[in-house]
Amino acid sequence: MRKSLIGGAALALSALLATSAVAHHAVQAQFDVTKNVIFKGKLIKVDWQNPHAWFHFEVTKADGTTETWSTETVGPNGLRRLGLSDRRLFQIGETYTVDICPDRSGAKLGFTNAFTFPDGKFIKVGFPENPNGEVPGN
Amino acid sequence: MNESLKGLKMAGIAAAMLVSATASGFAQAPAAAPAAAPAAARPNLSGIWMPGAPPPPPKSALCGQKVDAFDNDKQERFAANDAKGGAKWITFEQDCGVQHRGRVSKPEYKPQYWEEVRKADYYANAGGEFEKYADPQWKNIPLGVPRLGPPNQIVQTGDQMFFLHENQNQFRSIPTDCREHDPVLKYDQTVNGLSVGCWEGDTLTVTSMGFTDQTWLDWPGYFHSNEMVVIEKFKRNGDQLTYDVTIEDPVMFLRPWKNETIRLNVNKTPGAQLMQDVPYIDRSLGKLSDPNYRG
Repeated sequence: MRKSLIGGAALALSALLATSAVAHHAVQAQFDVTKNVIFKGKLIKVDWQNPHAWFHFEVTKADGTTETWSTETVGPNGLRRLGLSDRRLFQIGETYTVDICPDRSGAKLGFTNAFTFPDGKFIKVGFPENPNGEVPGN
Repeated sequence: MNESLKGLKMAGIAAAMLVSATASGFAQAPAAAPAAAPAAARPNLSGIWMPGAPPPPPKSALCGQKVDAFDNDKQERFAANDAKGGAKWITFEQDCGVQHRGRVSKPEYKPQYWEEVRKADYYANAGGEFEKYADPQWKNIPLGVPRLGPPNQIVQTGDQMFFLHENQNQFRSIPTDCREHDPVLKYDQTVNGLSVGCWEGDTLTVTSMGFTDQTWLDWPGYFHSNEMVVIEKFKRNGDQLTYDVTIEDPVMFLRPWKNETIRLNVNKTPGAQLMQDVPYIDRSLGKLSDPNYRG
């Protein structure tokens, strides 16, 4: 999945991957791609790192306790091509709505499909349940 | 075992020296081959090189209300069996893995190494009790030559080339005066090896040795010995650069492995600039629910 979302042309992308010698596993080796989980959480940390960037959120449960959810995305080079590596964009402490494919093990991890920003900005980097950004109950 | 290994190593060293002598022989024996061109008359390989067309410059995501990495209308090919949402990834990644394994050109290991190659392929993503078979990239070891691939940018000046790689911010410094490898440093142990180059007509040949045996050649478990010698050939045709790699491993291979030719295009976008890479920190080894889900 490295360098995969450059320009969003999946066919060109598959050609890139097919010739790539880098280590690789399918998304579904870790994540259940048949499910979408949507949560709202406060961004507490971003790891800009290869082969995939990670976002960490503090999610407040109904009983008032909190838990940490960490979500993987595509490679930082792909995010850069989309203009998402701009440090002014994701703000620590802001609350985001995140659509993920959950970890198959039940761990509080996911593969990111989309972020909805506090101002409604919608960033789609995968296959969210609501592809046009409508978030139920938001 | 030790004696036979020593014998193999000596054979490897002899073969490596032969390659070195062959590579540099063009300068010493002009009657047998065209003389190395003077620096000013050589093709200039300087530039940013890429496999496809240059990508459009990134737009600022600060503006606008939507950033869409995928155009769903163009994803029909991936929606096999009415797959929806993220399930579309299944076709996409598995297809890529099958395509990659379907390459005609493969290394030919000596019979005694195939079982280990098979295990390295099978357990490459597993970790845990199988960690010794893990793809070194999962352990955050740099890809190394030749898995690193061709450079993203070449800087050519006189008898010196610099290869710059965006991937993990790697660089290679390559004298192109047809010198021999340093007699001591050619036994060093690095991921990119010690490289020397020589122009033969309009083709640059770079020969590298002095490798660690920690890196792999490709993700299907293709390891190598530290006697590996990598021969890269670069030839420019207008705006295109062809990159051919032959890997010799006298310890493990039955015969040299010639990879498929890679063709690169020069990036003519005004102001194009190589970017720095961010650190490589992988976390998936040992944490995958199904490590054999290769893609």
